[in-house]
Amino acid sequence: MNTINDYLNKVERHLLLPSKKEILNEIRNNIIDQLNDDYSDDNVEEVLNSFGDPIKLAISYYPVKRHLIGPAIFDRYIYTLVELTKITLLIGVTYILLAISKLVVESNIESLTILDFLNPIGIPALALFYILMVVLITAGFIVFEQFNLDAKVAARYKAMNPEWTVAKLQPKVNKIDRQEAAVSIIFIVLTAIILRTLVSLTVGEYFGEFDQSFELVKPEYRHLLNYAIIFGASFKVLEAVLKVILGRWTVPLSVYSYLLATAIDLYIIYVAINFQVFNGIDQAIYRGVQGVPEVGLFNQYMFTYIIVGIMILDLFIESGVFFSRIHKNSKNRRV
Amino acid sequence: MDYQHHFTELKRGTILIAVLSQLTKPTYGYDLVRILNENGYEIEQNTLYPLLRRLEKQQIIKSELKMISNRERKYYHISAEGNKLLTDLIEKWQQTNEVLTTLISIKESNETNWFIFTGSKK
Repeated sequence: MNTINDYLNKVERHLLLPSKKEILNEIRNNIIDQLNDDYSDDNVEEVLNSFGDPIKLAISYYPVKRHLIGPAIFDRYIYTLVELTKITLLIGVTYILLAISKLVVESNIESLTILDFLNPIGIPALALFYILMVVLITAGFIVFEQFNLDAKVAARYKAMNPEWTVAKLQPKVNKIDRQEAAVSIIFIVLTAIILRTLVSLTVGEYFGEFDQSFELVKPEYRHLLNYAIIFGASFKVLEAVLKVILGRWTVPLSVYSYLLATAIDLYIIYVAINFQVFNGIDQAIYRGVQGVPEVGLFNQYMFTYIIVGIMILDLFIESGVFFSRIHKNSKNRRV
Repeated sequence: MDYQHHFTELKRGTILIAVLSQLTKPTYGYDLVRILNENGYEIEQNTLYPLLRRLEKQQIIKSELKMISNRERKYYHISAEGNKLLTDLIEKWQQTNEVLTTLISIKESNETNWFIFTGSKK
């Protein structure tokens, strides 16, 4: 009986299922079914051999589906990662080329190297962006798979289009309403103007830029925020124009749109945190400097929290929109 | 080259017919293994028992616990839904069998023609 218990213990260690007890009981009964009343150790060995490796036995009780990202969406997952890698490499190469071009322009100064034109955190930040995006994309696809969203959306689509025939093939039509794009552009431009005005109005009151001795200085960060607004608005306008040109959300457009939008979000977060757009007193406290007056109406954390919160929320919204577009278009994709 | 994977795949589709066809009367696990093996359908216990569990979950078979020699023994029996499935599976199997028999006979006839034409085996 000890050998049987040892065997069952081994099965149990690899059987991480709620119905473990019941399964073990069943296996025990099945083993005993094959033994006579006066069984010997040899008989037990023979029966257990016929059951095979206890680990394999335990694994065979698991549900058939055992993957985080299944075959139905795996290709799309790889496609997205490949596109992300291409974009990241493109940004990296452009960044290095820009540094080289600056080096060439300043070639009259001998002591300069390419490192003088590369921000020390530029490449690590890009690597961090890449890793973060891989994690986000992977997590999104895992959620998609584990909640069976692919099958649910496909079922809904099938219910809407029960029978497919060749006659249903239609010539290319503009599925995206041009008005939608126009509204997007107006909204984007207005948002950019409002943001730009807010930045101008609140400088020195709500925001502060501090030097090493924590004296309030001219807020140099302002142009970075302006860049962020200009980049964001330009990208959105470009996206709207592409929508009109392409007439529909294609998978590549969805992927680029999502990745670029996220890159802009991360850039704004980077500006907000790295250039102390918020009240600098927390930096002073953190570095042990005394007597720095608090500037602005918000306390030292509020502004950062609001900005980062909005950006994270935006990331989630973009992710949701991205996956729904990808799915919708994978069904409509022309070959 | 190892063809075992292909043989396993071929057999995988037939297991359900083999198992369900023997559960028209209540049968316990090991008895089912014995019946199948005695009739030339080799099946490993670590394949059969998890399969029975899955079929029960899908309500294709039903089970009943009986006390035998002071311990529980689980008897399996095909459900009404399982019976319908078995009928369909047998029909499909017979159709497939007929088609494959025809295809194999064409293949053999092609080989014979090749031999007559060239004087050598393909």
